[in-house]
Amino acid sequence: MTKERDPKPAKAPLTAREIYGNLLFTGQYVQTWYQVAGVQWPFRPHNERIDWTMGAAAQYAQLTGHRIIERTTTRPYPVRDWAEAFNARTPQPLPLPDGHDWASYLISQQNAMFDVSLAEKEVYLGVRFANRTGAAKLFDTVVKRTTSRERDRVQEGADRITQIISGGSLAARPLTGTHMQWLMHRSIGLGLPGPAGLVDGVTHWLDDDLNTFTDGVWYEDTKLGQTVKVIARRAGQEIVRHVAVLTLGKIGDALLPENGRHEWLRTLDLLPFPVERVSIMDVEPVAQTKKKYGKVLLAIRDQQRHHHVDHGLDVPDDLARKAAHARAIDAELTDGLDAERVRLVGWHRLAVSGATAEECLARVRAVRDLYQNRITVEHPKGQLALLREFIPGEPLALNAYTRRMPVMFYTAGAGCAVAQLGDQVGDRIATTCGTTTRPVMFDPWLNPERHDASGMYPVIGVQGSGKSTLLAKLALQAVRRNIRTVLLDPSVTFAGLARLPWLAPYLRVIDVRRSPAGTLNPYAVVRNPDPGQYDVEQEWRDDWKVAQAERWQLVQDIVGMLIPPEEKNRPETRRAVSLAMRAVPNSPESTLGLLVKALTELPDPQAQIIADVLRDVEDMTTEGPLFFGEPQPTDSLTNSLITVFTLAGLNLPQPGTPRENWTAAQVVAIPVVHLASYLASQTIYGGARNARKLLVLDEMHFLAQWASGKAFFARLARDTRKWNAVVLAAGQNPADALSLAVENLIGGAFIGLIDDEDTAVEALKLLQLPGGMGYEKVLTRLSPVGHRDDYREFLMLDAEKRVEKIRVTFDGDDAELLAAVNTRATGVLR
Amino acid sequence: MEQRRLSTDDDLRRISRVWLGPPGKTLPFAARYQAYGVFGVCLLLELMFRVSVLGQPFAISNLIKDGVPAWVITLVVMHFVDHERPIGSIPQMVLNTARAGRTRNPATRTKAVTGTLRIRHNPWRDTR
Repeated sequence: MTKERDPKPAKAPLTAREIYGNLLFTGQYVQTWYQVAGVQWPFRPHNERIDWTMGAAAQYAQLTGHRIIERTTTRPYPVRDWAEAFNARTPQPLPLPDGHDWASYLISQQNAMFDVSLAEKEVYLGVRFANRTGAAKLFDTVVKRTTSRERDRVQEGADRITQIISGGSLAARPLTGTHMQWLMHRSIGLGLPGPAGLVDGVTHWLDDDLNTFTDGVWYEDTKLGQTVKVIARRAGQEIVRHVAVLTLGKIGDALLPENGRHEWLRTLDLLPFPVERVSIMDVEPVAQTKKKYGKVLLAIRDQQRHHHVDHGLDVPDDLARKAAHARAIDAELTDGLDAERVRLVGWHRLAVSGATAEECLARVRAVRDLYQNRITVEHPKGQLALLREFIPGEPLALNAYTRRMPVMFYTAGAGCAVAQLGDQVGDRIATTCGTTTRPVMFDPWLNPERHDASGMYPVIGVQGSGKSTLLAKLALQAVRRNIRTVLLDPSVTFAGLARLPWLAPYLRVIDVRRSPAGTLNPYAVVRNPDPGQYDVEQEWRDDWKVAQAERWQLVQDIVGMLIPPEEKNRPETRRAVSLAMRAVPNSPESTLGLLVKALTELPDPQAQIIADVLRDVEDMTTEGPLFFGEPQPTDSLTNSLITVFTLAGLNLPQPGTPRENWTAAQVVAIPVVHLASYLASQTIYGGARNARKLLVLDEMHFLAQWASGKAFFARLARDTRKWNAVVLAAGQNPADALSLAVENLIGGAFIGLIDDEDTAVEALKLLQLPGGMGYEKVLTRLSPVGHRDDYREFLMLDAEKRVEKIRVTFDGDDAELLAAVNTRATGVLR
Repeated sequence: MEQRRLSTDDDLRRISRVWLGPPGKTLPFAARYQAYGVFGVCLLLELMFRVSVLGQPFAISNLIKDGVPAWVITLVVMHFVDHERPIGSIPQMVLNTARAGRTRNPATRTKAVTGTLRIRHNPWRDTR
């Protein structure tokens, strides 16, 4: 087919002649190439963004006299690598029936990842730093290669460049052979799928070797055409992409830091398709800039005089304005910092591609729309020549559309910004939706297993923000991996999992309120640590003491919850309860009945009042016997793979309602949630210490108001490391988890919709973000009202303290899950 | 947090340098200095062609005759010249466009190759 069209295709040799390490030799000059470290940008404090911008500007400013080429490309997300890594971390997946089995699940996850743009941005930096000598050029012409002497000579210059840009904001690394291959392939085959089978260990490409990059790639253009066809033959198949090269025209003012809009280069990340960029820029020495603008000022003066004096005409208004601008620049060039003084004279090209010319041109329109009212985007003729500018080593093809800017203006564009989140080995839980659309992988057990960090993850949001659906999704992902999971379900959400027939054999739902008396005995729910599970006796002794203190505090709080607040706050009550507690052994075998008995034996009349109130609770409430009965064996409670402790019928008060207004049923509901949480938490301490476990706790805000609740979470958070457990604790108030965050006891966090800005400030503290930067509004606009019901939005803090907005979607089996647990959709629960 | 406004220097390159005529004698049109330059070069080339190729002697009448096409060419060229596309970039634009696929055969393919054809005039010469 190719031969029919053109039997003798024209040839356009590359300007590059040889690549040695990260050095690229052309016939005239030498470039050195680096990869710039992506800088995490979303939800970053402004002062850190400013520091990065100034730092990068100062580094570029040191490259005066050189031509720099910043080349941004994308690397498709390594879906297959992820699947292999994830599979390796799941040695024994749950044998679910066909269609829901592990293999099907892995395939569906990978397909879902292919469906969205998952390209990861990479920024490469080339510096043209040396010209080749006459002798070197002559030798090259004859022998077709560089000499070691020449390479040694230029290496010194390259080392100087490396020294400037290898640290600080840019943190650039010299390109390895593999990266150089990737860059060459991506640049020559612009818009084509990423090359497969890069060769490791190759660092030297001579003239003929460069054919490796060009073989099988063809360009096809038409006169005055708007796009270039880039064609590749791979595995006998012809792949065609239509590529359009755009160039940036007039650029509007920028702000440092930007607030409310994206930086001018980072804006490109908003596009749902990858955009390639090359910025070819000369770093101009200050003296040269000064001289140039001096001439401009003279030209302005000359025009003013020509109009006014020579011809008696009105001077055009813009001349006076431009003269003032020129004087301001002149002052800046004299007094400013290098980051402000040094100018970049450059050309900024963007390349978009599509499978058809129509798709490509639609993307061109999308780029123009994106930059509307901000930057003029031109689509010049001579597309093939412009397309070649993207190839390392190629010279500038068109010196029109030159942009002149302070180096700080360029770095304020945040072209190196990335939005990374999560790990690369966990399950796919969401996609980022702040700027880019990338999958978020999250394996909560990485923290306790690899980083010796906490496995506690608070999930905060108002009712209806999607906390429960997120928890259910994460729980189901754990179950698929055969991880023992226990869920505490006060709002009767997770009990809906029983509606999934393929999960039912592994699921046990325990209705706590209908369990035998004594199930929620406050003495028994805090178990003493088993010495058999400790290698070091001292460690066991320490934990035993912690358990004693925790039990004491819990019993004290439970009594406080059951008696009226006016009685609880009296000093006599505290003294009586304290004395009675000392009369009862602090052990899992004790009961509240013994405590009541001890109270009645005290001579204090206040003790009698408390004893009477407690007896009333035992006799007159449905839940009473649960607290007062003899301890029940709990080992068998959590022997299913997934256990749901449901609290069906529990009447929890609305958060914020004064306690005086609570009904009797609401008063006992609080200790039920407390004690059921303790009961559920016992799962962590059962089984092998290294086996992964998941504990999901909902309605955390009811616990966090009590000292015992705070101690409970602190203990859980600490124990996640020792017991390889993950705790997902959901609540409505971010302040509840703040003390844990301060003590570095959380491994990450998920914040959903918050309905008022004061609470949002607390939530930002939990995410370790400063307030007053406009992020509060982001939290109050998550999962906006009226959004489709099949996704929920959160801000996620990951183990590396990165924050980004994520969208949790429910596809495949998750759609069934959503239908099973979605309280909003069904409207029957709670 | 105080925000700092940053701007490019492009504004300073957007100065229309026009010549309105000799002092005190304002012409009825305002043309850029560059237009006079282009006109002059065109006129010179035409005269050189007339004298050296056609062998005609230099005469004022020829100068007037050649002025008209030179003026037209200048109008065409200056139509493409603005602050974004300075006059120096026009030859490159023309060359880039001219080197694109031939209209007779719009399917012309250009393969990026190296190897034996390594010494070759390079139309993508750097402008520095």
